[in-house]
Amino acid sequence: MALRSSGRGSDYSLHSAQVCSKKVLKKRRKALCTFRVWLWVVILIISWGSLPISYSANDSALGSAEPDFTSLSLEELGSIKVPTVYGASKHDQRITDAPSSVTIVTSEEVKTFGYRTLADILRGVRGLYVSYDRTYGYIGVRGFNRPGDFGGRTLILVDGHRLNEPLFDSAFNVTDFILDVDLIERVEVIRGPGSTLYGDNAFFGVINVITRHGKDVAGAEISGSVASFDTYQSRVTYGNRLTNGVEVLFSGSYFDSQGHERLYEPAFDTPDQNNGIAEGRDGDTFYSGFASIKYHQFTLEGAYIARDKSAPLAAYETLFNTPQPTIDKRGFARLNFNDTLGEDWVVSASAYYDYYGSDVDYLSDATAPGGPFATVLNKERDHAQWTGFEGQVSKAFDQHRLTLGTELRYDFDLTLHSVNVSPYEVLTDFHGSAERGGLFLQDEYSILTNLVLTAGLRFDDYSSFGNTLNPRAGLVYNPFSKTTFKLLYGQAYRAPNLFEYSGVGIDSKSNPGLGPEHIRTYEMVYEQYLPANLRFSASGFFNQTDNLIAQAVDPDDGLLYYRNVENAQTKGVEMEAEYRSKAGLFARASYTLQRTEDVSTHEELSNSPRQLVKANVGVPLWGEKLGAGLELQYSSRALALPGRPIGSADPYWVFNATLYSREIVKGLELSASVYNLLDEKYTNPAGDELTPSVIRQDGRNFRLKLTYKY
Amino acid sequence: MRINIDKNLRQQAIERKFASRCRKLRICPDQCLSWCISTLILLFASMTVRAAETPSALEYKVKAGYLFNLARFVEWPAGSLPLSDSFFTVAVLDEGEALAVIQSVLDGKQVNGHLMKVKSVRTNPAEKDFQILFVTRAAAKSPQDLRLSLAGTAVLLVGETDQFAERGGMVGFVREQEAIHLTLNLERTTAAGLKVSARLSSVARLVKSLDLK
Repeated sequence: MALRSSGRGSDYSLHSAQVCSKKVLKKRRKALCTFRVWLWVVILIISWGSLPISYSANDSALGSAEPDFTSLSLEELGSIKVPTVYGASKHDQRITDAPSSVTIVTSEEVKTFGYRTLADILRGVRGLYVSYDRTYGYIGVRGFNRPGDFGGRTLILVDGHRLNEPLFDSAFNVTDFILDVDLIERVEVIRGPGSTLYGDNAFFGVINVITRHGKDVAGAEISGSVASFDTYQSRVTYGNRLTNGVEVLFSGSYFDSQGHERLYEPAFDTPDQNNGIAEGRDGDTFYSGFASIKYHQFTLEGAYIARDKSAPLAAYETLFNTPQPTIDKRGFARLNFNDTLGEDWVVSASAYYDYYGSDVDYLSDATAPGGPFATVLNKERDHAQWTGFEGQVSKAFDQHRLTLGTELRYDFDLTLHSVNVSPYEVLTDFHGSAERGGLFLQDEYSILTNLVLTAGLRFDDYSSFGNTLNPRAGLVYNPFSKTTFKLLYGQAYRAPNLFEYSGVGIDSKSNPGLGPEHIRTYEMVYEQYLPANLRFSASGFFNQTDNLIAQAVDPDDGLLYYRNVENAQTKGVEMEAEYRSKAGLFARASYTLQRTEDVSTHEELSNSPRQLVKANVGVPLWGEKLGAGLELQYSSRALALPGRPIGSADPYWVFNATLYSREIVKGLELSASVYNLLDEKYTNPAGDELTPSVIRQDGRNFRLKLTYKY
Repeated sequence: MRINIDKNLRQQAIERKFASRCRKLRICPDQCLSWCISTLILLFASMTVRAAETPSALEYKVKAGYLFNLARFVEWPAGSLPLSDSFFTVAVLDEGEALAVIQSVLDGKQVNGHLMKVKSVRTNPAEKDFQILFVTRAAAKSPQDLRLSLAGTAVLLVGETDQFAERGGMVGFVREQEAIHLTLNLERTTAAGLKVSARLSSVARLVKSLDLK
């Protein structure tokens, strides 16, 4: 990650004044028309569901393609996955019971749609979008994805363990994500504020990635893939439950991609910049490892990744078409304990150690006025180490389930270090530490058998800015067995990260008064199960974000500093329909309509598409042996940063297709994927640190993958 | 006349307020109306949907499969089981959707020479003419109270609430790693005169009774 000093001031993401012209009104009407068409389609579907047909669970429960559950052994019954979500309340619960709007992506879907990274997975999820600037991916949720931020408003967890690092808040999700996607059992996307359980970063949502279990692997796996841009990836995994009761999983992955051999970027199209062509500057390499050992109530888990991405777009006004290695290293080790102690207290505790390191080299023009051309090499070496403890106890009694939890964390090594090599000059040399602690209480109160109130409160104290208190309340009502209404309110925060708080960037200063960002959300969710395995959900939401942290210039001394200045609000609706046939056909489509604007100016924020459409179809072609996955993603126009030559990223449609086979040869899985099938030319808005207004995305590309299990 | 003027003024005020709200939302009044009507129809349509496939159908199908296996691998004391030509009865204490799903899986199946039948019980059962009592979460009954009401009978008490087998029940369904597993309280099954096969006790997680005050 880089020390960011854009100098663009606090108007970072507001577009120039938007006049309410006929054109805008026309577009708005068109959008609403599209919305109404969707709405009526949904109404028709539901009306069909309400037809007074003779139908009962007796007819539906056992289809000819389903197994006879009485013929299954105890072991077979115990291996059937029943969809649940953990991250919404820190215990397994049905998705419809969770006090949040939840989407689960399973490992089956990862295979069916040929997902390569966590970002690929999230791009297929209702309401989410991921921008890519050819170095990092940035997750947008609920219309908020400020260009230039590192994604600190979405919390990413692996098996409940926090991955966002403390220097820049990064939420790694492309090839820098710590897990090979083949190790993912499921991904829980929990929308809405999660700070009452998780504290910092759980601002717009929580993404909890659950890893596979050793006993599910039950042997060894070797996987290899070849893809466009000279891309090769390999993985070796072993997992099992041993006879002594120990369950293990070990895995290692290696990835190497040359990237675009000649990457053209029009913003650099001048003769002295190789006519805008970055030659061999788009490479991407990582190696990663994951290990998990479980014995009775104890789980020891660790993961590590070192990823080297060549940044091709000359960030921070460095020299274009020169090497800019950007290395991110992230690791953790955690010991977890889960048990029932005493009479009926369910206890869990974990202790962990985490590491994050960032090494980036920049080559800049240092030509003196009138002098010969000269360059300066800047080396940025940042790292952080932290350790902590989390504990929680929960007790169910009468109509209540109470959970009390705490988190204590000590960031004992926080280093931001930047030097120019020749002539040697230290630009930044910060060494520090920080502490934080949190205490939360949650009560799930079953007022009636079909009405549950979940109320939570969390207090956090930081050595940097002080403390913050965040409540939430969710009412989940099931008037009928297939109908769920959720009424949700919550608050969350994002603490200033070290870089924002310390003010050690170039030409920067600290702001002791810098506080956390806050959000208040109001949401209503409606979920409806229909005949023939059809599910429909809709939600309306309103988010009010206050004290957003932005960079500004102090007119007194000309130095950059961060301050709480912006307020924004989002209102929107989301709808989703999902169908799963007994024969294995899977289809899901969603539509999001939203608008995010600055509260004071009512101007739309950058990188906030008003409409998103997602559609996924998984088709079994030959039982479970052969199948196809088709995916469609649409994003409406997204504004670029204000004052840029290109005002916005155009709307786009992207189609992806995957054909897969399994067990045609025993133990062998094959898949062939084509991404961006129609070769759509599309872009994502760029951050402050980059010269281009928008970043071109990959055209049509492919991947062939082979996995062998034995 | 005065009343009419007031009505008109009031109407105009309402329209102005409505238009103002629409302006704030950046949509025109007819769109507002369209949205409201659409939403109302949507809600109305949803409320009329008949009970059909349930969100947790799979969960209760799996549990029905377990209940079948419990019937296979638990031995009831002589005399407590009816004659071979009569039913093996599973009673379901439920306020939700579980009963229909379990019936669809178990009704008519053969177990140990008996035809299975699933029946509904609404409250603490007075007649104990069943071999298994399954208590759902929706029933919201204390396993300890149920155990006391079943004292002296050879009924296998199965439930799905937290720590069911520890808190008065005999067999509990628990969720672990997205799947459903069994907990088994051998002390309670033995006290009820039920004999659990080694096959079942090797798969289930054995638990002990909590000392409930």
